[in-house]
Amino acid sequence: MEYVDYYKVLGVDKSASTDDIKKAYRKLARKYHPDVNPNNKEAHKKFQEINEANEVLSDAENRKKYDQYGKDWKHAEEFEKARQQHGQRTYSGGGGEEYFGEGGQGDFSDFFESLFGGSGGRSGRRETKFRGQDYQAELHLKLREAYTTHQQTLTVDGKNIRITIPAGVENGQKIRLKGHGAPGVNGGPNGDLYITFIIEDDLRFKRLGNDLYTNAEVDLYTAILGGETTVETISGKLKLKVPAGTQNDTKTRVKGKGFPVYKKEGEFGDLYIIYKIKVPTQLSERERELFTELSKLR
Amino acid sequence: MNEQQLIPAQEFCLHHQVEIEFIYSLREYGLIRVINNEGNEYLSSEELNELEKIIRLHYDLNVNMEGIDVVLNLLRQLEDTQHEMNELRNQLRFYK
Repeated sequence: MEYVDYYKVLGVDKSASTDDIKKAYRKLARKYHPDVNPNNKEAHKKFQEINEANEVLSDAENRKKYDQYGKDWKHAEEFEKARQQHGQRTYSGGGGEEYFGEGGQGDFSDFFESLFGGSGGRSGRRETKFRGQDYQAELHLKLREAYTTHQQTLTVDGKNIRITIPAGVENGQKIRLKGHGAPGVNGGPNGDLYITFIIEDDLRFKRLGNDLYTNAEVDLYTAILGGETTVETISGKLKLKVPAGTQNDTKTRVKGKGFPVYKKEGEFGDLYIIYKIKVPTQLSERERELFTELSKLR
Repeated sequence: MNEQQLIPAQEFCLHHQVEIEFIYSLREYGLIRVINNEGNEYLSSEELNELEKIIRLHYDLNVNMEGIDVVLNLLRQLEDTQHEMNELRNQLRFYK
């Protein structure tokens, strides 16, 4: 556990007045408040720090205790115990009012907990019901998993949540599960759970929007003379006609064989197949003779 | 699933301990909709998140109505930009 210099966190001098502290806190809160910093974990963390600093320094009694015992928090704990025994303890956990909905002010540092015994006790502005903190989670999916609508069970705070992941979900896409975040404060509603989908790369298929791209090997003779080849799509095998004279890297489009369009059932992107022509190596004597003969015809 | 749920404005105010006048001024500034039905005022459940955010901006950060309007507009722009950046990142991944 590290000693936290709350004065430094708020950027004020040790001799700062209550007003200076309030001003410094307000300024930093406007900058780092989770509502104005969506999806910014760093800002959320910083916001917790400044809240904690404000919690301590804006209250005369808290500040006195911090100034007195701050650097020696372990002794402060003993001090607290002694105070408790004398029935003079004024701080108790869980009574916090100024609870910001998103971004979690609820988590105070270990340092704070050891010094003030649990988060919360504060002589604040208004006793408001606030919705709980939002949770952020990542869910990794294979490309093939994102191809079909499927259900998955997640465990959040020891509770199982069954979610349906619609086919065609994008990499980095976020969904919100209402009410599955942290419990509300003072009877406020629960926060939400945000899940970001991370779609892993697939070896065979590359995805661009709703379209898929894949390479298919074609032997030299089929490329020259034309013929048929079997290509693996994400939903099964497909027989394709290869026109005579197909060049390397020729791109052919198969309509509707790409990725499903998110929340549009039955709609699919396209599949692009890039032909890679395989030139035979290790030719036999006879083959070499024939190729030489062919080359002379040109 | 797209059915809109209506929440009595009075109940919302009681729950969040804000004055109904606050809701009216938000309406004045075009920040939220207040739905009138048979003489009663309702808020749309779809707007609750935004409304709670507005309350936090106003009461926790002391942002006034004009400021809230600016913040919300900028946040929307930020969200669009983040979305666009995500799409571009995915496109870049394709070429890697």
